[in-house]
Amino acid sequence: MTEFLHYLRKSMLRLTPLVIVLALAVNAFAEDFKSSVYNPGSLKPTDSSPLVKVGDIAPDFSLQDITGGKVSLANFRGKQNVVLSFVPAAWTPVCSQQWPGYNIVKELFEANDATLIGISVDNIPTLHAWTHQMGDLWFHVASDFWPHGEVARKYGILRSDGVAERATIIVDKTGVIRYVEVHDINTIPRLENLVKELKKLPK
Amino acid sequence: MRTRLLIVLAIIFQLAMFVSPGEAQDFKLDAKGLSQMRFPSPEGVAAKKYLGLSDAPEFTLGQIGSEAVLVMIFSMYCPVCQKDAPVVNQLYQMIESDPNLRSKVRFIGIGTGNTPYEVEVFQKKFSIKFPLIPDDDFSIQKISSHDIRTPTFALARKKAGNQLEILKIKVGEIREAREFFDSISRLLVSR
Repeated sequence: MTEFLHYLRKSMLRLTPLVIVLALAVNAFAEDFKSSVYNPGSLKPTDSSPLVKVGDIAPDFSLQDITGGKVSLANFRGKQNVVLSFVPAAWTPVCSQQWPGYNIVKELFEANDATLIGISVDNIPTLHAWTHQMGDLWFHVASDFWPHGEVARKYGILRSDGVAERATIIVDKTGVIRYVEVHDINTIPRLENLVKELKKLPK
Repeated sequence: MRTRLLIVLAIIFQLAMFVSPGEAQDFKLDAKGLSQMRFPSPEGVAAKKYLGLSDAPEFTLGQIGSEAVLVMIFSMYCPVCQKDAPVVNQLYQMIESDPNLRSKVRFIGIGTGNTPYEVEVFQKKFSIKFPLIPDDDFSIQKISSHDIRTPTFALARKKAGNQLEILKIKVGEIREAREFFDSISRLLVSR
């Protein structure tokens, strides 16, 4: 009996590392779909005063892109319409879905000769990690991190806590602003509204 | 003796880790609430026929003409749902080509927080063959025990009076269509 217990103990000890490894692997697997998203709760819908309006020339900017290059609004002048999608912050509930939604409708942008620049005040490493789990994105993701929120400030959509509004701005090929929407930060703008505005752009 | 006890406790602890993938295990849908939810009827004739619905503008899951309903709660915006869409299509094909299961279960997607337009975008983009229904105002959230993480799958069986009984809930993507198919088969066929 003692011998048996001794054997059992020995075999259990031998198995323990394996069990630990397996348990950790299973937990890592569970962690994978466990939400990494931080929920800030309900926020004041908007918290800024836009400095741009339809008809204005869009303030130019040149920001670092997650692919390592720079993205400048002026580069699209005469070539493509541009949708600027400002989102408040990486790893927050609504933002974490808004861009993946745009990611599956590239053709709706292309049909209206438009491209998309997603902008947030997060730094590049954060944007890299966050957008990485969205899959391959077809559009530019730009960091308005430093000087902090400078572009958002120029457009008058920087909130008092240092994040941008959830704002959509459409700039036509001549650099003129055709649409400004500062959306309630707590909810997702409807895709059909964006598509409707894209269709209105001069052909 | 003490060492042995510690080892046993350690092993029990390790095994416990296997079966506790966070809140996913505790997620529940209120069966009564789900039975009472009214959804807009799908527009297409084929979708209506597949679900066995009348021409009424709205329907409840219990009115679907099969013994059981497999519900996928998703969002067009959710990257995990997008990634899982091919697997979901594979699962649908498996159900439809299984002589035992195809008459027993109907597959339906509920696009939570999605407008009809957004649901249609998802349907077309991923060539989803089963009906997808919008749940624009997050109604399904109101009958859930936790915040819904999309996708979430629920298998429900009809009881008397079009009431539903929830047989299985799976939070998160399917990943392996065969495994999921087998688990529904076991619940619905081999009894």
